[in-house]
Amino acid sequence: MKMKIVNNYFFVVLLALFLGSCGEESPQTPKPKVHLKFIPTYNGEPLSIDSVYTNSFGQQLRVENVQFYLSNIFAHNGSDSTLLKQAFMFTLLEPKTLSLNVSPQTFSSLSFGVGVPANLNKNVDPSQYENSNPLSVQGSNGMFWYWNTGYIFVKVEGRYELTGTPNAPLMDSYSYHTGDDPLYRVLHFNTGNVSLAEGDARTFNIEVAIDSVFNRPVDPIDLSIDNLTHTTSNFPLAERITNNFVSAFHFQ
Amino acid sequence: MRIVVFFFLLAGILSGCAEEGLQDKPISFKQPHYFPPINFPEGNEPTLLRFELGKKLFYEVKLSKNEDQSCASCHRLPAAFTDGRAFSSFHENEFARNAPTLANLAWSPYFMSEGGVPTLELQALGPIHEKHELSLSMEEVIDRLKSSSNYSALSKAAYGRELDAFTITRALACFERALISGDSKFDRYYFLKSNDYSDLEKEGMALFFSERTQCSSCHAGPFFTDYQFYILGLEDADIGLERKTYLASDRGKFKTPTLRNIELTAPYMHNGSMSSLEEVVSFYNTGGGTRSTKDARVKSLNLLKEEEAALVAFLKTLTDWNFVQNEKFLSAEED
Repeated sequence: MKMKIVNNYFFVVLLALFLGSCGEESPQTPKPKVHLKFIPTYNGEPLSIDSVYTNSFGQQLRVENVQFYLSNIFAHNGSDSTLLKQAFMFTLLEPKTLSLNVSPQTFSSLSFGVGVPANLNKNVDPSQYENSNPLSVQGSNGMFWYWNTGYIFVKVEGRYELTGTPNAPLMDSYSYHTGDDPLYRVLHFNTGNVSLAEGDARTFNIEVAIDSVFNRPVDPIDLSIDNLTHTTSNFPLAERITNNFVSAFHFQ
Repeated sequence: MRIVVFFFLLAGILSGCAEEGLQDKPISFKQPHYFPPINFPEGNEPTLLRFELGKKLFYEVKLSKNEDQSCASCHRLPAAFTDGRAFSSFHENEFARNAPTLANLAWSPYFMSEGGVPTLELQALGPIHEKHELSLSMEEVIDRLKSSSNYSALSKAAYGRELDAFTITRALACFERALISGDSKFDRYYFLKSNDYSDLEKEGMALFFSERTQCSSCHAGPFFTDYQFYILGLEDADIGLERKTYLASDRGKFKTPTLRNIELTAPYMHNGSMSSLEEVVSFYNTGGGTRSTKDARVKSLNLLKEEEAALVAFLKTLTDWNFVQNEKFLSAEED
């Protein structure tokens, strides 16, 4: 009889454990949120994949695809740093605001890497990640090299023509796929003092001025020469595109 | 009554351990004692169902865009898992190369022509995604496979999780690690002390391991490769290792291939430009290719015709007929 009672209690405890996950959680004050909104532009105007732009060589171009990884997104308060997000991928054709649930905190600057840091890049198996992770096989969405493993940090692709003649068809393609450990860059942005309590939310707009890829004054890109790099095929150009691309980020 | 309900609950929870009656068990791969032990990656030790799932995937045409190609299209068992073609890509492209054999991949320190892939598991992703090969995203692969046959059940029973990129890559790697070849006439003579070796074959073996030819300085060890990269001097558009390292000094460097089953893996060289072993031996004997940067060991050997023939005879003793006729490596449809 005693044994039967013990068994019944054991059953009830087990059942409670199984059913526990089905119950509603008690209402909680929402965590503070930080939203990072990336705004692609060209010459200060919202970037349009249908628009034709002119670079500093008078060549006409269209931007059809922009994808990039950001990683190690940190908030800084003096010498204290809080990791907000390990990795995020921006895709021009499906732009998403990065929304982060954070702990109540104060910070004065944000930083992130453009690309994927060395410890997450080479020799890392993307199949270990859940599909929802942007570093996973499915999440990487064409931003991983399988013949020489590592992530493509930045893709900028489109079409161009060299004459600058109005309404001339853009017959040729340019394609920049940059990535590899030496091309990882970290950017810092001052935010001013930001204090986030429970329930607070702050949105930061970050302009990504794609014209900087082509028209950065110290290193403009001549599409008649420099229209293709998948990094290994032309590492010097990949380095130039990387440096131009990171100069495109402006904290608003 | 409550206790009965409890047992039903418990049975439901445990049912995932034996999907649809599939029972897995550890297996070991038979390997020669003169090969070093295999270091299996943690979590992908060989089991019966991992091997079976990997084999099923290896021969699965649903992995290709048009459902007409599989891994086995370029890696055919009778050709020691090569395909007999100069280039293996389905559409010729700048980096098309001759298909390598898959024999003894379990010991390879890295994969792909430039050695840019660190594990066999990770390598499996390449041909699936490569647009000149199977050309399919992993998302599409999983969608196709989940709706057909018993892939999901095999995946759960073999790895305890739904079919996904993780289980697909691990199962393919498990199957490929089983492709062990070390039972050639040479092995039986050299390691097992058989007497079945002709004078010509012995002469060829002596030449192969000699200072004069230095063949074995690169085609070294039990796998007949040192896995390093060298310039033989062949001139073509393929930049070789430079593609990975960006170093001009690596232009035209290619990985030393294994010579096991070499008789069955023609045509030869990274670009499939030589159709016979006689042609390859003659190429080395006459000093290799024309690149000025070629390896210093690639120089005229002054071998007589009879010596060339002896080297070819020796190379043909590296064929493992039991390997290329092993029905365990064939798909169920081909058994």
